[in-house]
Amino acid sequence: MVEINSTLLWQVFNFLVLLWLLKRYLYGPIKEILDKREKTIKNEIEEAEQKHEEAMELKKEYKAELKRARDKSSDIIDKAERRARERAKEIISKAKKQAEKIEEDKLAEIEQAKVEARKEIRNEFTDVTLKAAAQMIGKELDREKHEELMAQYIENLDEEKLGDVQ
Amino acid sequence: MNPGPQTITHLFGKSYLPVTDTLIIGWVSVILIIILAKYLTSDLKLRPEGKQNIAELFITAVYDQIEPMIEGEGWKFLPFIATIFIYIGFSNLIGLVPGVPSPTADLNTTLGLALVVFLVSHFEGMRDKGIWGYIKSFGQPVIFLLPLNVVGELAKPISHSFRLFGNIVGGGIIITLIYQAAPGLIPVPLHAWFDLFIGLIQALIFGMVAIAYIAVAKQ
Repeated sequence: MVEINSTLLWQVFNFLVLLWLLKRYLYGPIKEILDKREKTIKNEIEEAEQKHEEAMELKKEYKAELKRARDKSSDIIDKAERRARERAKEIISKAKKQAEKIEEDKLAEIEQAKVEARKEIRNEFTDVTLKAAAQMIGKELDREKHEELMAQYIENLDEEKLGDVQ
Repeated sequence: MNPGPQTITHLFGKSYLPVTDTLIIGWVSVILIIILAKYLTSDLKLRPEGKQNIAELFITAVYDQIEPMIEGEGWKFLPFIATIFIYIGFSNLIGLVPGVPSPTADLNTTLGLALVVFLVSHFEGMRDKGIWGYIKSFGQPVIFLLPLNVVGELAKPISHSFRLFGNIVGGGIIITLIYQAAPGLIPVPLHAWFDLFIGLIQALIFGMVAIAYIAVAKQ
């Protein structure tokens, strides 16, 4: 029943042949597919991590960009406000200047009118006094002389009594 | 009744080259295993389905047995250990077919495999420690234990092969006796026990012990 013979070597041979064939048809392909799967999963995880990192970076960038845009917009608003204020000041000062100029013009006009009026008064006065004097003394005074006299008189008057009127 | 291997013919007509029924079944087993392996790995995909799952589950289960005991060399020893599991498991299970003897019920098969494990474990030990370093390890922890260690080493393939052989032959003998005493339904659960359960357990034990021998030799 128990006999050791060449079957032992045959069985070892069987085993080695089976080992070789299974290595080729079972372990090899399975190991290959397992490795491939592992590699694929690893790659996918790495890719996902990389994408996540990229996304985080993009988010950071966008946040910075948004902040920059906000800063810029507030800058623009500030600038615009400043400019508007300046412009308003400018307009006001211009208007003031204009008003002053108008006032000056008007004052000059008034001055002019005053001078003219005085001149007119003086002329009229000269005429009237001339006529009165002519009537009083019965003869006509020499106009030129008379005018000189009147001017002198008025000059004196101006200096002594009519200083306020000016 | 002769439960031992029957000589069917002689190779080249030489009386020292008998071809036993267990040897023929061994060849048939090899062919069937290869066909099964080809079928399981015929359409491998990155996303496993059906039969590919079975193949992957088996391979990774064997790997998970080897890796903790022989660290870092799980894939290196996987073909050897997995082939032991497959060949012995298949040989044990084929005894379920009525009239077909298990190749493992022949001491030639189990001793052959045990000797292969014996040679592999010593070869690996020598490769790891060097020939002299490996021989010296038999004198550990004290030199006078050397003969004991050597006898222990020599006993390994014997116990390894006889454990499997005895279990399978014993099961076969019991079932044959039961068949003779009470044919009918009674042998069915016994078949399940001796061929299915004991068969798979013994294949597992043979493989695990092979891993342990290699791991011990490498320590």
